[in-house]
Amino acid sequence: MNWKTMLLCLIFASTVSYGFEWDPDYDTAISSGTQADIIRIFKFAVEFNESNKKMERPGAYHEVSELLELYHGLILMPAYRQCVQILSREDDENLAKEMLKLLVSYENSADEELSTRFGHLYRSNPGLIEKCMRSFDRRGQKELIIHLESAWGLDKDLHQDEVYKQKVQKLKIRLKIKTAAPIGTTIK
Amino acid sequence: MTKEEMEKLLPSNWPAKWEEVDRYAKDGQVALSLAHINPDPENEPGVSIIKQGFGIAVAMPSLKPEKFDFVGHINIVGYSDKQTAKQFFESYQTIPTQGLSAPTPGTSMNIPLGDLVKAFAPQEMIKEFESVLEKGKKELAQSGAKIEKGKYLGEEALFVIGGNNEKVVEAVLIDKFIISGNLLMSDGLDPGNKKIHAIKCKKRSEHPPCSTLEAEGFVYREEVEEINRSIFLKIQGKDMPEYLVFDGQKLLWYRNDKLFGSWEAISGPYGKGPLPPGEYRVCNLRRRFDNRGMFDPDGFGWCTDLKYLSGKTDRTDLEIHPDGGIGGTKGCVGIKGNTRDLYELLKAYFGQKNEILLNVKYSEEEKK
Repeated sequence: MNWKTMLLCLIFASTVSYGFEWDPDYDTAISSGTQADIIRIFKFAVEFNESNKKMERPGAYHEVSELLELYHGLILMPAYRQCVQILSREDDENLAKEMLKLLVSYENSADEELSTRFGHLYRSNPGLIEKCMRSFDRRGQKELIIHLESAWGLDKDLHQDEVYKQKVQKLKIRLKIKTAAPIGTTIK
Repeated sequence: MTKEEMEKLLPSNWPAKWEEVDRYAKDGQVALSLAHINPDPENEPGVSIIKQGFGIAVAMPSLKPEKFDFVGHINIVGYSDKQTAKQFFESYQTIPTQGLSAPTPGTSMNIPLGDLVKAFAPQEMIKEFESVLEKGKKELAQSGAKIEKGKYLGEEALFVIGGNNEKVVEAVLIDKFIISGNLLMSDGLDPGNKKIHAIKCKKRSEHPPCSTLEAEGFVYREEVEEINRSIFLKIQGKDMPEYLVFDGQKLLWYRNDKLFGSWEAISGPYGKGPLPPGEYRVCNLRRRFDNRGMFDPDGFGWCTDLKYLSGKTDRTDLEIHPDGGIGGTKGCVGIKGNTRDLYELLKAYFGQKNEILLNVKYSEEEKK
């Protein structure tokens, strides 16, 4: 299925969603989804986001970015939260790699929760994250390090955690990544 | 004009120190009373509201500490068309000076009022009517007062000019509406920069007045003019100049091009940095319970969406929300400190409209 076909499906889904109040059961349905469901959602989100980045016509761009944000809030984030929970207790490399692909693509997103939850996941399962990060090219690894550093700057718990800071710093050295982190956020 | 249409002519928000104490609407008319909160109820004389109804709250001076120190009224009457409204507006001037010889308002023909009354009213009523108008005419002539046309806040107005040359607005004509009431008499109020002693000043006899009416929160001319202007703009359907500005350090709320409120705010430095400059549509205000990064120090979470209007950006998920966590955002506008007041203002605003414009412009220093 190409992204345009998926978009049409989504337009249909979004018109239904617009007319209803948020149903808490929906979140539960996503939360009880399998790893395969989560991966499907992540793959779609990446394709959708990359298409949005390339969008040229301003009119179409506004329509697509609006749908993308709708998808983000209603579908992607519940799946992302579920994914973080799973990876905190299981070494599912396949799922972890898809999550990292999502984070690399979503470098354009202002949603802080993507970075902070990733930071918490790295704190609880650093071995899995590093192993999966090594399969990414340098640009991807750099984006992921930026997420981890942002998480340190944004989240109170992580900010106060010296061990987390040191772990990220050592990871940067091992991966030979240099980042131009915002002032005051560089982990020394 | 239906009752509902008439009610829509009044703004929904008033300045912070004013409270709506009475409102009445019916087909073709809406009346409103606004009371000003007494900034020093223990020491300054206030007014007690003794009667409410039909939009006119009646206030009396009081010796006890009172919540309010001033009550103003506004009455708006709507006519079927501009021409009819103009005729009635002019009758405010012609009937007191010409009596029954004045033209009858509300007709397209130039019929003197007396002819119409004589044609339809019983003899007894005609006599009573004539005597009342004659008496009014004489009293007006004896007082030396005149009724003159002029402009009030740029709108067509009728003024009563007293023997001492004091000018008071009697009515304002806008489109097919006539506005009257004592809130229009703002010219009789002192300006906001009038010097007075501060409420907290303990040494009044030792130095000249150390503050102003505006600074101490008393009623002053410009504020009442601002209320009237907001009503005029609403009647004209021009009540849109409400917008937000983010300058890198503060979120500023402008109403009728005047600063209405400001909140310390931040955007960036994480992710792809601060919000790109340009115009945004602010919409979709909602509470947030699922993300600590959007909680203010009281644990109160909310957000609005930001839609970029100045072309294209690949930035997504941009929002305004409380700046939770450590401080800073990935491009959203994070409001520092307690945010409930801003949330409540946005909630009241979005109760009336779907969106508000945000203009993001950084100073040269901010850009560095």
